[in-house]
Amino acid sequence: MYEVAQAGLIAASYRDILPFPVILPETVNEAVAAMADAEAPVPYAGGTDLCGAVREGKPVGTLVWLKRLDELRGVRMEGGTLSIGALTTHAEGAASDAAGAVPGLPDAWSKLGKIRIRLSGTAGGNLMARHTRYEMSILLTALGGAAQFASAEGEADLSPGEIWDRAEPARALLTRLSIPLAADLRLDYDRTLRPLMTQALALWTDGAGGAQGRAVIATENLRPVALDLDLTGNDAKAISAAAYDALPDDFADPASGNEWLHRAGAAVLARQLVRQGAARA
Amino acid sequence: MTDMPLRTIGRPDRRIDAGEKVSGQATYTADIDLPGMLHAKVLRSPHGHARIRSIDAAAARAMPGVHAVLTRDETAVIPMPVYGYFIKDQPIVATDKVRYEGDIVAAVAAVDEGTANRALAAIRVEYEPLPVVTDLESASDPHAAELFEDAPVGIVPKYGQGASGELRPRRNVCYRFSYETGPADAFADCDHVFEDVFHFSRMHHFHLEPFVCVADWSREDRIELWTSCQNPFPVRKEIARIFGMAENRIAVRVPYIGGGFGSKNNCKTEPIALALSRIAGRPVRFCLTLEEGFLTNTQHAAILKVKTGVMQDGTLIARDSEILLDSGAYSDGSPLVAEKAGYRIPGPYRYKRIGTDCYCVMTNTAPAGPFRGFGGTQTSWACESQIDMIAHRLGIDPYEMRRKNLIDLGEPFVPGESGMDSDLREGLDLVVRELGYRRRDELKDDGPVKRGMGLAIGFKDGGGVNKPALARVKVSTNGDIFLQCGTAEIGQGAHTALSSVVAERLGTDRARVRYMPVDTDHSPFDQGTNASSAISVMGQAVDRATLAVRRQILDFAAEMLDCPADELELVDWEIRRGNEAHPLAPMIMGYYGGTGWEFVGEGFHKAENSHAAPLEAPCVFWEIGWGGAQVAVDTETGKVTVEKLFVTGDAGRAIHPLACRGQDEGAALMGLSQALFERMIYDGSRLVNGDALTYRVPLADDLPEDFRSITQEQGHGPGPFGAKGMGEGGMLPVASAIANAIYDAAGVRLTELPLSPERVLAALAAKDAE
Amino acid sequence: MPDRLDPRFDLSFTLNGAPVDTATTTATTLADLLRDRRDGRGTKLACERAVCGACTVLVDDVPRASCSVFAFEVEGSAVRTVEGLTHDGELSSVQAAFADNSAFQCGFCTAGMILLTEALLARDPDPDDATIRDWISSNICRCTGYNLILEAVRDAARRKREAGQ
Ligand SMILES: Cc1cc2nc3c(=O)[nH]c(=O)nc-3n(C[C@H](O)[C@H](O)[C@H](O)COP(=O)(O)OP(=O)(O)OC[C@H]3O[C@@H](n4cnc5c(N)ncnc54)[C@H](O)[C@@H]3O)c2cc1C
Ligand code: FES
Ligand code: FES
Repeated sequence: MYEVAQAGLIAASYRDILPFPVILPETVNEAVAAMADAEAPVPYAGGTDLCGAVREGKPVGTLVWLKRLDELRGVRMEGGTLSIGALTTHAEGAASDAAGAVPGLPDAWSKLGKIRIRLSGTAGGNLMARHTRYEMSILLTALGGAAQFASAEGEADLSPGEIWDRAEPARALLTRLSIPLAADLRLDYDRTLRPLMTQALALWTDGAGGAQGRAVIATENLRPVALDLDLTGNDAKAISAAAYDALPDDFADPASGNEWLHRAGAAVLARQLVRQGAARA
Repeated sequence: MTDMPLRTIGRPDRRIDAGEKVSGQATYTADIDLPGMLHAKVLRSPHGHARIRSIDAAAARAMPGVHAVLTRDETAVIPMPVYGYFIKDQPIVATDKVRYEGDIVAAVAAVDEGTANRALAAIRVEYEPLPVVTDLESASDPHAAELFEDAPVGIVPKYGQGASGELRPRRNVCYRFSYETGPADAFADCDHVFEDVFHFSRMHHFHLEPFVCVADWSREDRIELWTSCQNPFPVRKEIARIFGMAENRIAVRVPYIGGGFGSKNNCKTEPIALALSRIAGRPVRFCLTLEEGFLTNTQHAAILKVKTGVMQDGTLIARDSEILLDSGAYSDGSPLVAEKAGYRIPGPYRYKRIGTDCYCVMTNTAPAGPFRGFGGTQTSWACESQIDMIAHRLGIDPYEMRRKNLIDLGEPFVPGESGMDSDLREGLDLVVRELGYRRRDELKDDGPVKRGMGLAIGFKDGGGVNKPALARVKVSTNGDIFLQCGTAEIGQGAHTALSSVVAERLGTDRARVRYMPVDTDHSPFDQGTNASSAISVMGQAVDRATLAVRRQILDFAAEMLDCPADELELVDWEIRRGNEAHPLAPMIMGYYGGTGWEFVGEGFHKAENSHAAPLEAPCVFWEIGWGGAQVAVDTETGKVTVEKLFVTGDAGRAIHPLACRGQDEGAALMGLSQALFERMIYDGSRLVNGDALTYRVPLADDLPEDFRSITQEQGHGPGPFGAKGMGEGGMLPVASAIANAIYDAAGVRLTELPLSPERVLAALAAKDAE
Repeated sequence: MPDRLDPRFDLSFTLNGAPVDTATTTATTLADLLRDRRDGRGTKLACERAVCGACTVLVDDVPRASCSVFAFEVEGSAVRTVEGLTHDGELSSVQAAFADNSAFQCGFCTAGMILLTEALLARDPDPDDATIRDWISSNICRCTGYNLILEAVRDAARRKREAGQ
């Protein structure tokens, strides 16, 4: 909310912002060049988060308006990878046929925000806002996906966790999210306890035909935590209890304590496993 | 008039503000723009509690575009630069200390908000941080830091039988209200005495139109103020006192208000805007952000300790309570809320003995004040939870326990009070029927998901305390009607309801009535739009004013037609006498001349003062909210899903049925969100979710699958056509009905709001451990 | 659209069907631009954070929070606001449905809710209850408890279909 100036709190307003130049590139190359050359560039995708952030004091030297980059729109298959353009809106993504390559993904994606936000908010903006309240990072972490960045120095692939750590090259643009399509990859996303917590479960089959899985738990205030599953044994409660042994003890926030997150998260996971036929109740 | 069918009352037609509001033409204070208007912004304390060593605003004053800077240096010359309701403890800007994170230290008026904020950033303040007080129970400990070392000016109003008040009864407590009736030893005769403690959470009103005003004090002897405020006349009085100005020099105007829910009573933005306008010699707009709203006024968090004595058969005998209200850093409306919380804690039941002490505890958090329910939400939460708990302990059905003890229709609430004006059992039975409560044994569990139902009866006195109301109705030559009164349109539909009363009494369409703008220069005096008083109190004044003007018109016509007035009827601005119809306009011009005339009627209403009544005047009407909920409790995650929520209020007579429904459902949804999730989360003196994105208010997809209300029309109200007030009742029963349903479903009792999954799971674990 | 905008620039778009050409700055929000015009105060501002939707307008038929859209973004676009829904004093079907169902109280959310409904019905003339709830969940109404709004949306859909709109 506030820019904590030396003397106190000031309620920031849109009217505080000094006008800035805007660059409106048409190609990714132009956009990367603009990011490299402009003074203090800030990329703008759907604006649903950025505008608020700017109001709250995020400095803008030059605004790089990405909306004309049609090449970064839409979801497509690239070999064995599902590739999501950073500018794909939540509404477009959830409705795309290609996203159906991961059963459960369109449904999960359709739950991110309300329709007014989904029509403008983009997959890339959701990740780059680095807001623990936003969920794309949870889905991408569960699915073992990566984020591709382009910058004047070249391209770089980052894990969702590295985005939280701001490990991308300076002045980079997020271009695509990629999800390698492991055999039988599917997603179960449970938002029933949102905003206190949500949990994504990804399941797939490895090269040796073994069932594999990963659960990702997150809260409104905490970065997602991935828990690897050992699916042998076929007992949903036992699998989920074992996975939750790895939940850090400090995973807690002002709204919920660790004990509840642990217990409720494990209960939800057991149900997800049953729902997906990955284990018995 | 007597046997004519009603043409307006009770019809769900378009409200009079419908056209303007759906077409974007309705003007709110936030929309007002004056030539040469400046914009104000404020600097707020980053500390919860600190002494101010120095303030240096020289750089801000020198900035281009800055027209006025307000710090304690400037307010020192203002006659009384503090405000508050009973206690004048809130400074216009901080003087010696800051008392919460967000307390206002300085203000700037500049050509635009950006310039004002940049000037604020150039102000230097040196603070000496002090220990903070945030815990209600330890605030009075001798070692606790003190918010006010010196006593602010304050008053204790006159109370009646059994009631008393005290300023600063102990450390960090600004006010105590107590009430007592019946013998203290009544507990000795009880079969059981149960003591339980309840915790109540704190919400922000989250009205969409921010706190905002436009103040023009560019001429020395004239103040003009447009403000989003529920009580313009008390604000006028307060401004007159602060600035030493005559009240007839101050015009306070209230356009449409974009929601308030209690927060927009008394001074909020006005004193700063006025002080800046005086310095700058130009009009000043001061509009807070929604985030600043959280720092301006909130609901009262509370701890309620309730001790109840009962007989084995469930008969209630005695109830003693101690209530601690978290009043935040300034008293604001806290003493008034304490009166009401202290008075309402018995609930709508019969006792031999009631004893209450309610304390306003000061903490280093945002000031708390009036909030829909006004203490009644806190007490209904505790009372209706405990009734259920006692019923279960005694092995009695909670429904039967309530029925047994409810006050009868017409029975005084306590000695000296007015009689109950709703049949409480009728409302309860309606809930039971609509919810299917008697068949709740047939509810099916779903593996770990358990289902259950709960009931509650929310209760408060309505119509304000000792509230006078005055209204004026004018009718022009052509039968155009002017309704003048001070009730503000804050969304509740008061302008529609009051205009309906006028139209009905004058035998014409409501379209002929114009509700005149609320302006203290022209509107008759009014204490404020609050306490669900519009129809029950102002409605009576409007009704009398209308009947007075009608009498004049009929007397005039009788003289003109040379017949007794009681042979005449007034319909569509014609005088009907048997089969004859006499248009009024020619008759009026024939007598008063071609320029015509205006008939003017005034109507006054005030409850009679009575020292026998604990609050010095008997309650105007009793506002009851009956509610019932069906929940599904997931015993593995603790999640509570409210599958059905049913609320019902008694409008006495529903002047506008859809407005009544909207009030009950809007109130019920606030109750639901408080029950399940909505709350201000403090970490020490820091509010951690004070913004729109992280403070969760209910959306349409939070509605229970089955969410309904029914407006009862029992017809016993004091208002016109038997109407009672509405608007708060629907909120009162919801949290306790849900907690009671959780118990019914899963056998665990939650005594702290919100009823979060974490608390449910912890309670289940504790039960298993037993 | 040009490839680059200076902090101060000239903006052209259509507002409720009429062309607008105006000088503005890149930091100006669409809401402020609209509200600074005569007869533009029907667009309300509350949270100024894209959350509440009180400021919702339609940009090329997409409902957007005008507090969180920079004015430069609507270059060449068609913007519709609540003021543009009424024609010759006659309310649109959606406005009439909100009026008749008393789907408002204080009215501060109303313009945004109405425009959201216009956008919904333009995409789906016969939305089911779940879709209506989903859409209306985009915006906040603190007063009504939403039921009356949901009823007004259903009613508006019916009216529009009956009028063959
Ligand atoms: C009221 C509300 C409710 C919401 N609810 C949810 C919810 O329930 N679940 C959920 O997951 N999300 C939610 N969101 C978040 C919403 O999904 C995001 O705001 C949205 O995805 C951000 O996308 P955007 O395109 O608007 O980003 P922008 O606002 O344009 O940008 C966000 C940030 O990312 C940067 N950025 C954007 N694109 C790129 C890029 N290609 N490369 C580098 N940096 C970039 C920007 O500079 C900025 O810092 C909500 C938001 C709001 C306002
Ligand atoms: S004011 Fe724009 S979304 Fe709230
Ligand atoms: S009518 Fe007041 S916020 Fe919706």
